[in-house]
Amino acid sequence: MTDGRVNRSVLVVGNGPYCFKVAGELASVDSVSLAVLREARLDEMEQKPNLVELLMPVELLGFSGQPGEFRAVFRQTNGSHAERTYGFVVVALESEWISTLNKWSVVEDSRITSLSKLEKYVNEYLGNIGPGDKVVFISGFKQDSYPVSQEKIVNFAAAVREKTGAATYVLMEQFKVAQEGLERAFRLARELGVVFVKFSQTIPEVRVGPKECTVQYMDEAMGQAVNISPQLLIFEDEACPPPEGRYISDLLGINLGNQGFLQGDFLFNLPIYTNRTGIFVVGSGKGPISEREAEREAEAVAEEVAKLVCSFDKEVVGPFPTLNENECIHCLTCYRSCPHKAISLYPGQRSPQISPVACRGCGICVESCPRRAIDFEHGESGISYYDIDKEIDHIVYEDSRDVPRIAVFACVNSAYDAYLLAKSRGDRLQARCSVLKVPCGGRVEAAAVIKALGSGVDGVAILTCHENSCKSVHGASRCRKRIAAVKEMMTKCGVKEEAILFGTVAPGSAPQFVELINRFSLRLQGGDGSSIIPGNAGSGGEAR
Amino acid sequence: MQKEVIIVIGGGITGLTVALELAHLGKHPLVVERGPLLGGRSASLPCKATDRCLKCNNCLVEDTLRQIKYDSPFEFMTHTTISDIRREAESWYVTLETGPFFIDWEKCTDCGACYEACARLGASGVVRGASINQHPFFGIDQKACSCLQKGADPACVKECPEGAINILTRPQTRQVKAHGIVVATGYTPYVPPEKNRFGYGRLPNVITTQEADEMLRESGAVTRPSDGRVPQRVAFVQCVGSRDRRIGREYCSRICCGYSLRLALHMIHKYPDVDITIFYMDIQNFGKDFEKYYSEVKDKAKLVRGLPGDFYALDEGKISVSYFSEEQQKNVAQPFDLVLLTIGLSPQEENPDLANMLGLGINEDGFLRPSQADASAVVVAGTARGPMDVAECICDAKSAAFKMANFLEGS
Amino acid sequence: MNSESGKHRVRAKLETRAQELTERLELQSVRSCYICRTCTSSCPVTFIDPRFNPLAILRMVLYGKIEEVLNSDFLWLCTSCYSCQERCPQEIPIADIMTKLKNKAFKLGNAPVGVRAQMDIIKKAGRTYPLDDFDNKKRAKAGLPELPTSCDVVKTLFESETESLK
Repeated sequence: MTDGRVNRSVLVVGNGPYCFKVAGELASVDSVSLAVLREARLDEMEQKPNLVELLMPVELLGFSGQPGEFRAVFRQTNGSHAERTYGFVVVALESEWISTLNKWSVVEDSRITSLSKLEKYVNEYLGNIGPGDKVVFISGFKQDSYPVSQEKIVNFAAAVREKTGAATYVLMEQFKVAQEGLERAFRLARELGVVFVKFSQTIPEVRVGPKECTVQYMDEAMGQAVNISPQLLIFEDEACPPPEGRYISDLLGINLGNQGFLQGDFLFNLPIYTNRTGIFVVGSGKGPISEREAEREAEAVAEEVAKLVCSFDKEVVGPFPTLNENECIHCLTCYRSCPHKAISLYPGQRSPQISPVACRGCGICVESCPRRAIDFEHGESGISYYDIDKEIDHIVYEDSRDVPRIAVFACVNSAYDAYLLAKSRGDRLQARCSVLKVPCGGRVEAAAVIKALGSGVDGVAILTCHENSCKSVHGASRCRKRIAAVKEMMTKCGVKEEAILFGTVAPGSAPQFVELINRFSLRLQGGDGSSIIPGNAGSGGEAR
Repeated sequence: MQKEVIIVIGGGITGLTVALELAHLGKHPLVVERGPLLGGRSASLPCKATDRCLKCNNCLVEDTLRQIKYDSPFEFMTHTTISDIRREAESWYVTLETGPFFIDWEKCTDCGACYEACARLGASGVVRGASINQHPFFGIDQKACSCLQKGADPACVKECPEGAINILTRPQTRQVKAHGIVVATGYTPYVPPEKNRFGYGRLPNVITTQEADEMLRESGAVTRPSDGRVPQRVAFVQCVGSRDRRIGREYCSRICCGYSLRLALHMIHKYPDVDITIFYMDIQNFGKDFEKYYSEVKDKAKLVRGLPGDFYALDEGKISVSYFSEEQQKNVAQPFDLVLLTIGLSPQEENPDLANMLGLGINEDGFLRPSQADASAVVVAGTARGPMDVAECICDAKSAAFKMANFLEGS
Repeated sequence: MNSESGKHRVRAKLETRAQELTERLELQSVRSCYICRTCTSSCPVTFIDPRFNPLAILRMVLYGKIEEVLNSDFLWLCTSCYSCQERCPQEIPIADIMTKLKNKAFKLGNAPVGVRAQMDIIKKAGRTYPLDDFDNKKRAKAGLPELPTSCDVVKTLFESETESLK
C-alpha cells in the first residue's frame, strides 16, 4: 500500500494434500502461490489449481508486512532464497494422527496395529482373518477421540465383520456420532454383528504374550467381565497438532490455540480467522474435522479473500488511528500492543505505520502510547466516542436524588448494547448512570478512570466483553489488569477502591447489566457495610 | 444494467450472513423472512459465560446484526412468505406475500410506542426483539392481536407516530425476478409429543432448553416456572428428540452436549450451591475447548451415563426421576427441582415442499441437500442442511455466498 | 494355510451355536442396542430386584451367552409390562424377546417351580384362580351369575401346546 498498488495474490502454506484443494478454491484472486513445507503426493490432488508457483518442499524463513503487501522469504531445497510479496496468506496445515500404541505399552506387530497403519495395509492385516477369529478396535481412553476417526473405525469394523466373518468388537469411551450419517453407520455396523462396548467407570486391559494377546474388560452394561483373545487388535490414533504449526504461527504472528493446535481461542475467530487481517487458517490444523467441514472452510476462506479484494477498492471509512510523528519517540509500545498486528515498522520510515486494512479500530494503541501520539480521526458521522477525555468533561448528571451517580465505560461490542437493551426494555437502574461508549475496554486509560472519578461521580464502572470473546483479542484482559492496577494504586493512596468496578457483560444480557449496576450501586451506598456516600437506597431512576 | 437479485430465504444468522457477504461482493441480495424480526433463533441465545466466555456464540449474532443495523447493506422483507417460484430460462420469478399485518421497517424508528400500546391492553400482538441490534426491533404477531378479535381498531396503528404499521385485509404481493436463490430456512426445535414420559406439558417444572434459553435471556436466570425460585437440584436430559429411531430422528443434533455443559457451568458459576445431574448417552465433542469444559463439568456436576426412565410429580413442584445407578447397580429415584430437556434440532416441516419447488434433495434425516443437476443456481446453507452451531452456520454461509457469487460470475 | 483354516473352523463352530440359537429365536434385533439404558431405567422390576436388568440380558444375548440366560432365575422376574419395549429408541422388541427366551427356557425345563405350578392350575381350571362351588355360592349371595368351574377350551389348547413343549 505504500506505493498505492494492491497485491491480490495469495500464499497458501500447507503440509499435505489439503492445501492443494484450498489453493484450487482461490479462483477469484490474481494468483496463488503454494508453499508446501514437505514433500506431498501430487497425485492426491483432486483438482489442480491454476498455480502460478508451486514451492515444494520449501522452508519459510521470514515474514513481514500487512494485508496487500505481505513479504515472505523462502529457502528451497537447492539452497536458493526467494522473496515474494502477497496480498493474503492462508495457512492450510494439517494435523497428524499419531499411534497410541506406546500409551498402551504395546509394540506393533502383525496382530497389533494403529488405525492409520490398518488404513494403509488393510489387505495385509486382514488377509489371515477369517470366521471364528476375533478383531478388537479400541477408541479413546488414552486420548480424546473424534467423529472423523470413529467414522473410520465404524466403517472398518463393519467391513471386517462382513468380509471376514470374524467376531468384531469396538471398545470405546463415547460414541462420537456428531457427524452426518454417522449414527446410521453405527447402527448398520451393529446390525452386521459388530459388538460395541461403552465404558464410563472402567478401562479395558490389554496384555500381549508371545502367543496371544488378550483384552480384558468389564462390560458395564452387562455387569460381567469379558476376556477376548483377538487375532487383530487396532488402536485409534491420537490427533496431534501439525509439527510446523508453532513455527509458522510464530513467524506469521498469529495466535496458537489449545495444545498447540492452530488458531487462538477466541470467539470471533470462527473456524477460519486469526488475530491478523488477511491471514487465515483452514482445515484440520486447528483440530480434526470432517472432509466436508474442511471443504466448507476452503470455500469460506475463498469468500473472505474475495471480500478483502473488494474492500481494497473502497475507501476506509470510520474512525482510524493516526500517529503524530512529531510526538512519537519510537518506543514501539503500540507495535507490541496491537492485538491485530496492524502496526508495522518499515526500513526508512521514521515511525511505525498503521495499516488501515488490518486496523479494526479497537484503540488499544491509543491507550498504550505513553506520549499520546496516536489519535483517532473522527469520521464524518461526528462519532466522537473515541475521545474519552472530552466525553468525561461533558458528563452531565441530573439531580441525583438519593441514588449514586455512576460513570460507565461500556464497550461498544458488549456492555453498550446491553445498556441500550435495558433502556428499551424499561429496566430500572438503582443509579444515575452516564454511559460512555468506548470502542474496546482496552481503550480505557487509567487516567480516564481517575479523571472520571474526579469529575464528581460516586463510582466508575468499566464494563467489557468476556475475555475470550473480546473482538480485540486481549482488549478485555488488558482492561481487567489495568483496572486492578488502578485499584491497587488507589488503595496505596488511601482512597477506597470500591468506587471502581470492572465487569464483563454480553451484548444481549440486559438483566446482567442491570444486576451489575444495581449491585455496584448498593456497594457504593454501603450495602456491604462500607459506606462510601451518605444516604440510603432511594427510589432509583429508570435507565432511560 | 439490471440488478442481479439473489433471493435469500430466511433471515436467521445464516441468511443474514450470506446476504452480508454477497453485498460486500457488490451483489444484490434480498432477504425474505416470514417472521416479524431479523436474526432468527440465534438472536435470542442467552449469554452463558462464567467469568470466561463459554462460546454460546450469541455475540457473533449480535455482531452480524449490528453491522446490518448500522450499514443497511442489503434489502430485506419481514412478515413475508414465498407463495410461488417459477423458473424461466436463467431466471427465477418469485412471488412474495407480505402481511397482511406488518411493520414498514423503513419508517419504523424502534420507538416502542406500538409495544407499549399493545401491552397496556394486556395483549402480546406486538412482539419485541431479543437484541437491541435487531432492526426492526418490533413486529406484529397477528394471531395474538386482541384488537382485531374484538373488532376494534388496533391500538398500535393509532399509537405509531410514524404510521409504519400496516394492517391490511389481504397480503401485499410482489413479484421479483431473481438470478439465484439461497435457502437458509434453518431448523425447528424438537417439541416432545403430547404424551411423553418426561412429563413435559404436564409437570410445570419440566421444561425444554429452548424455554430455559428464553428465561435466561429475559430475566438473567433459569428459575422454576411453578414458583419462580432458583432450583437447587437440576437434571439435564440429553438426546430428547435426537438419536431416536422411534421418532424418525436417527441423527445426533451435535450442539446439545455443548449446550448443556455450558449452561451447567453457567448455573454453577451463578449459584455455586446448585446440584446438577446430566443424564447422557455419549458426550459429543463441541469446539476446541471440549476437553476443558468436559473435565470442568465432571468436577462440578454429576454425569450419569444412561437416559432416565420415569418422571413423577412430587410435592412442592419437585419431580422424581428414576435412573439406573451405576454405583449402586440398581434403579433409583431422585427428586429434582427442575428438569431441563435438551431438545434436538429437527428439519423444517416445509422442507419437502421447498425441495420440490427448487429442485433440491432431501437427506435421510429430512434436511435439505443441494440438487446434483442445478447445484449452483440454488444454494442451501446453515441448519437447513443439518445440525450445526452458530459459528459453523456463519462459515457455511460464507461458503454459500462464495458458491453463489461464482455462479453469478459464470452465468 | 490349511491349519489356519482348520483353526478358523473350530472357532467358528463355537460361535455358530450361539448364533444359531439367536437366529432360531429371532433375537437378532438385540444387535441394534446402543446402550442408552432407557430399558433398565424404565423397568419397575429393576427397582425392586436389580438381578433383573433388561439391558444386561440383551448384552448377554449379544455376547452369545443365551444358555446362561436360559438357565437363569432372573429371566422369570420380567412382568411383561412392556415399558422397555415402548420406550426403546432403537425399537428393539425387548419384552417380546423376554417372552421368547422364557418360552425357550420352559421348553428346556428351566421354568421355576412356581411357574410350572401356575401352568398346571391354568391347564386344569382355565384360570390362575380356580373357581369352585364355594365361590359360586358367594356369588349367588351377592346376586352375581354362576361361573363355570372348569374351562375345557383351555384344556384343549394346552393339549396341543404341551405336545410341542415336550
